[in-house]
Amino acid sequence: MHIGIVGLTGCSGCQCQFLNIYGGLSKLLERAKIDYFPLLQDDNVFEEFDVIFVEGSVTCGEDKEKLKLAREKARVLVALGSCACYGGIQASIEETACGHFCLPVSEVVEVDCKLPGCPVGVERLLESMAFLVNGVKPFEYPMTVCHECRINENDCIILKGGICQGPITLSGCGAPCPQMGVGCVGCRGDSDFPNYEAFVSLCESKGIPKERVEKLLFLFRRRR
Amino acid sequence: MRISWYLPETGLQDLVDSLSSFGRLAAPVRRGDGHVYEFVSSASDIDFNFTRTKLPPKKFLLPYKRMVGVYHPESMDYTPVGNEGGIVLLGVHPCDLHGIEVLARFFPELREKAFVVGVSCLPDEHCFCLDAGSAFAESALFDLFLVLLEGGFLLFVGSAKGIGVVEKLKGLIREATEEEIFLCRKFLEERTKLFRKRTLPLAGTSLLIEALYHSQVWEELSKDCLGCGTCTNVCPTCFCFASYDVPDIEGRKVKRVEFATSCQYPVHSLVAGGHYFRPSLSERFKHRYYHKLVGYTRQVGKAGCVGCGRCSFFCPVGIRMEEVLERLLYDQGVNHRC
Repeated sequence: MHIGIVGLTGCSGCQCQFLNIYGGLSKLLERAKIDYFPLLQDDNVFEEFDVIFVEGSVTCGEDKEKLKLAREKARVLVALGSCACYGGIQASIEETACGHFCLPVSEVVEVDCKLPGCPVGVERLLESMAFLVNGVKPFEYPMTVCHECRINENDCIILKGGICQGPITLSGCGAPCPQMGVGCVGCRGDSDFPNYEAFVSLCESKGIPKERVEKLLFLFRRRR
Repeated sequence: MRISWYLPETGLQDLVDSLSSFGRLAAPVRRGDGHVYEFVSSASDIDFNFTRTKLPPKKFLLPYKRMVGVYHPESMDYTPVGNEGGIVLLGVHPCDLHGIEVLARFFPELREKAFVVGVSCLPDEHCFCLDAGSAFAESALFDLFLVLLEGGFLLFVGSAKGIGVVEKLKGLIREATEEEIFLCRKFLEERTKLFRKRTLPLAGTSLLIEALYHSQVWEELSKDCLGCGTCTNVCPTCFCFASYDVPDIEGRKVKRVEFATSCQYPVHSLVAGGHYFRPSLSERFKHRYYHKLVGYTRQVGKAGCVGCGRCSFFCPVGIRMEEVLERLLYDQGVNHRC
């Protein structure tokens, strides 16, 4: 099995997560060959791939070309991290006068699998790798961050008076931020059919103006 | 043989030790702003001063994520993996005892798996177990029940296994005096007075709720709902689960994992072909009440709501089960047709 890891516009943090899977990486290398990973290795070939992971968003012509080539060469293309899935923080800025754009990978080419997160969680990455090297699409079951947060028996940030996007954010991270007492910022994007209206009125009832809430909401989420 | 005993406070560690033969012991301990059930070995870690734990004892009986089997991807030889070994739950309030009873009607093996020691409690404004008919341990599943008195516990026996434990504790416990039984009755009387004033008898409402299936109230009240699923995740009787098969990276074995899900998530009603049986928020919102109060009653003869108040207490937007039902069943002038 041949794997490639391509970086577009992003911080490279999600690519680095491949190094943070420790033991999992050596197991992966027994079954797959990493042909292309410029962040990590010097000798890279870009030929045929079973799986290509694309990190980052598309912000220039060069990104577009790179991505289209990756799509041609890959049997399975995985959008890795929130930039690739939703455009990332850089996409939360409105398009500028000089015509800059910032697109998620899926708006340029067809994507087979999305692994959001800022960065993508190591456990989720490892589990998805296990699926992919066995030729199976990673299992997806969209729940909310609240699901994992309740199960971890954390204290609820919202009930404590804070702001947390857990109720409308896709699960899969294990709710590490609320566990540390920090409200969820929604880096994994939307849960299924999120109720924005109810969330905005919840924040407004805590004295946060609507414009500010919307800024928070669309830090990671793709504005519709 | 008398069925009520007195155990001095200093005997709690002996009780803990005597239960070890039934399995690992979980009891309420303080964590963060609340209490959680955790495995303990020392009685000094246990804190009975709580109204409700963050998660119900369900977390040990029907773990939120559990591996149920392993198979080989080529031979397809499947080996079930059970969580062997019993469990002792010490310090379970009557509402949760009833919750365990409800779960055990769906999963009969739980009756054998757990040794349950109940403990008396005091209600807060979210408790409505009195209305739900689950404020007392009777007719629920328990082996022993402790009533907290000054300096000790009044100990009641609920099963044959419980009698065995009492036998082991001979020497430490003594028969309860009439005065202590009187104190216990007084405690229960005072406790009953602490419940919220407006009563809402849940028993017998299942037909009414079914009749109000198309009420506009559902649409109206669900507008605030974020669909986060907290209400079902903290519920002592919710048992919905989904499962998936996860291969290991070497490709040698595949694990089958079951995990708790929630009817509040759209994916819960998603079937092959992309159809959602409950596409709207109000349908999902209504479904929970309908299943708890109508579905469970028909399925196992006991309502799925035991009045523990967790769904109300932990709801991030403050939707209260009791208020929804009051609005549905009592408020006049609501357009119940749509």
